[in-house]
Amino acid sequence: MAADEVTGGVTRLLVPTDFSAGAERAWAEARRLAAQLGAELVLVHVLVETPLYSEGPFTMKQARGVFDAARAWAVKALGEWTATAAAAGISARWVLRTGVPYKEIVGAAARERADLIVIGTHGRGGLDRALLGSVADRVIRLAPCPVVTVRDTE
Amino acid sequence: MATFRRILHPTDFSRASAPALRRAVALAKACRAQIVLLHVMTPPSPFIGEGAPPSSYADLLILARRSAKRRLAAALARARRERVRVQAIFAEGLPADEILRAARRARADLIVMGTHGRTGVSRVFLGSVAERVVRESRCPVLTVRARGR
Repeated sequence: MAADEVTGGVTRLLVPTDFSAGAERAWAEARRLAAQLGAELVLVHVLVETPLYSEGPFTMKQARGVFDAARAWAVKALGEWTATAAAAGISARWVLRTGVPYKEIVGAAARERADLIVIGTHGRGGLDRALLGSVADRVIRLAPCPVVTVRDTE
Repeated sequence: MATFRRILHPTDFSRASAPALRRAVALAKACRAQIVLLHVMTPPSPFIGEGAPPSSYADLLILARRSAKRRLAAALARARRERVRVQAIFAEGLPADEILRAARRARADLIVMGTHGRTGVSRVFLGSVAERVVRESRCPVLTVRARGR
C-alpha cells in the first residue's frame, strides 16, 4: 500500500504520561518517531482520584479542591508538553482521563484507534529497576496495538 | 532530531515473530532505516543425549548451527525481497543477553520483537525474553503480540 510506504502503517501514536522523567523520555522518542513517520501524537494523562475524604481531616469539599487543583495543573502541563511537539511541526493533541491508569490507557488506545503506544517503563510508580513498571507491563499485555517501551536513562 | 537508522529484529523463525517482522519492514521503509536481522541459537543441551560420546554432541552442534544459519539466510533473502536494506547477525547464547548485546553493538535505534501472545490465561504473560529486553534495553523496544492485534 502506498500510504504504508510513507507511514509504516502508523498514523497515530498514543503517549501516556505521568509527567515523570521516564515519561519525558518516552515523549521525546515518540516525537522522533512521529516526525519521521508524519504521524499524529495523542498525549494522555490519567488522573487518579484517591479517596482523600474517606479518612482524616478532609471534607468532601476540600478533597474536591485538591482534585480540581491537580486537574488544572495537569491541563497546563499537557498543554506545555503538546506545545513542544507543535513547535517541531508535529501535529499533537492531549486527552485527560480519570480512573485506573492502565485501563484508561488501553481504553484510550482503542478509542483513538492508535497504531502504536509509546510508554516509559518507569513512571512515578516505579520503585525498582529490576521490575518493569506495573502500568507499562499491563499496557504491553493488554493494549489493542503494538507498544514501544522506552527505558529511563541509568 | 535524530532519526531511526537501524532497527534490530530478533527472530526465532516462529510464527510469533512474523507480525513483528512485518512491522519492522514497514517501519524501516517509512524511516528509510536498515534492518538488522538477528537469530540467537541456544546451543543444544549436552545432557539431551546422555551417555552419548562427545563426538556426537559436537556433531549435533554443527548440525544445529548449520540449520540455524541456513534459516537465517533464507529469512535475509525474504526480507531483501521487500526492498529494504537488511543485514543478518548470527549469535549463540542466551537470547536476551545476545539481543541486548547486538542492539548495543549495532547501535540500534529500535528493537522490534514479537511476544508469544497466546490466548487464554497465558495471554497475561509477556515472553520471558521480551520481558528482559524491555526492562534492560537502552533503546526503545517495540513489542508486537503474535495474535490478537
